[in-house]
Amino acid sequence: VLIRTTLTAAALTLLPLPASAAHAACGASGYFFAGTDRRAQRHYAVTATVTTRVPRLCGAADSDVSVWTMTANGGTGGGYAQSGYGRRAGQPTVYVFAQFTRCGTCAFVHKEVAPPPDRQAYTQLYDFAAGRLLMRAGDATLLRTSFDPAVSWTAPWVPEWEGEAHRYGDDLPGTATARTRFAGMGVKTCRSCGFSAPYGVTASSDSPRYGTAYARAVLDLWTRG
Amino acid sequence: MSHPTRRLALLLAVTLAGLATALPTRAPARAAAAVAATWRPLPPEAAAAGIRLAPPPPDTPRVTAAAAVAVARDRAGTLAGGAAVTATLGLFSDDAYTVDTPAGPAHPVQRRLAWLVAFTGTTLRPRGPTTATNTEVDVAVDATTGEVVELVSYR
Repeated sequence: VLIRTTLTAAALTLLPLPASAAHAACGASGYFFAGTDRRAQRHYAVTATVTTRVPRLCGAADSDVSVWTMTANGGTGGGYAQSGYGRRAGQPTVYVFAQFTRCGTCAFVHKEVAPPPDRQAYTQLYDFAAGRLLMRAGDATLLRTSFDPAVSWTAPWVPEWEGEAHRYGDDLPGTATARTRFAGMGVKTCRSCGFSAPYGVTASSDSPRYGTAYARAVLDLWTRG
Repeated sequence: MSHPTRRLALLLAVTLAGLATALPTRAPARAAAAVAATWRPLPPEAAAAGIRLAPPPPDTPRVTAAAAVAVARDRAGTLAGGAAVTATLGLFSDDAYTVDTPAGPAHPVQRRLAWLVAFTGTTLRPRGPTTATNTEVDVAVDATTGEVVELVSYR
């Protein structure tokens, strides 16, 4: 037993497991966001080009880390459309995903495809002709809402650029010296407008473990050492 | 212990620990045996994800149901643990998934012979401000190449 315990302890120290413990304790399950503050701004598209980095998970069965752009209902009923990349417990790397729901208690639709390239634009775009929000990654559309948010949601909608973890001990992708960057953050404020920088944006984090910095339409996220 | 012996012991321990850690995820003791299901259309809610499953051709697929389930388990990660598993062969299409081309949007996933591996009784938490959780995750595995086409959840 002593030999097994010793060897296992040594192995656990040395073995770079796919879902290795970034911290000894995962802490409670929850939602830990870092990124832009929630501020409604009339918009019909939201975008950013995000660096791809693979986050370390703390090892809990429900560990989950993602970074994404989002358009959310401006009212109190919930609902959002998002795209980005993420990694869940048991997955060896990150995958591009899109997700939407009409309301805060509705079933949501989730889709994951391939791992992302080194950096990629993630865009939520309202299709005026179809009355649907499109969830895009690069030059692909992964999902479109099954409802018209212009009908179901309250305007102005909320543009968001965030990292998210489901365990306190999960890392957001990036370190202080190799941050995850949301570059070219933009919103379209009218049907025929091009992208422009969002106004009044500040960055914050729910967890002291995560760092954030925002300046001139560029957001950086990272996990502190 | 000499250095080579210690290195060998550590290597053995690393391997054993790795197996002990990996196995519960890939083949959890509580996992139900996979069931190859006969084709049936997807439920109406699947339309929200843009996916369809048409009847398969009569030919035998190159990839077996068991192999497809193994691939799907790897992609689903811990979502597969403890879930009931069914694998349904069909022609898988994703009408929501488009790629921009100079000629307009192309649909890269249309009528691909695939195993749709469904993990039911699992818990998928959302990545956004909502309290709902989904209880089914489907992984489409190409029945010719064995590659994952996509992972989808809609209920």
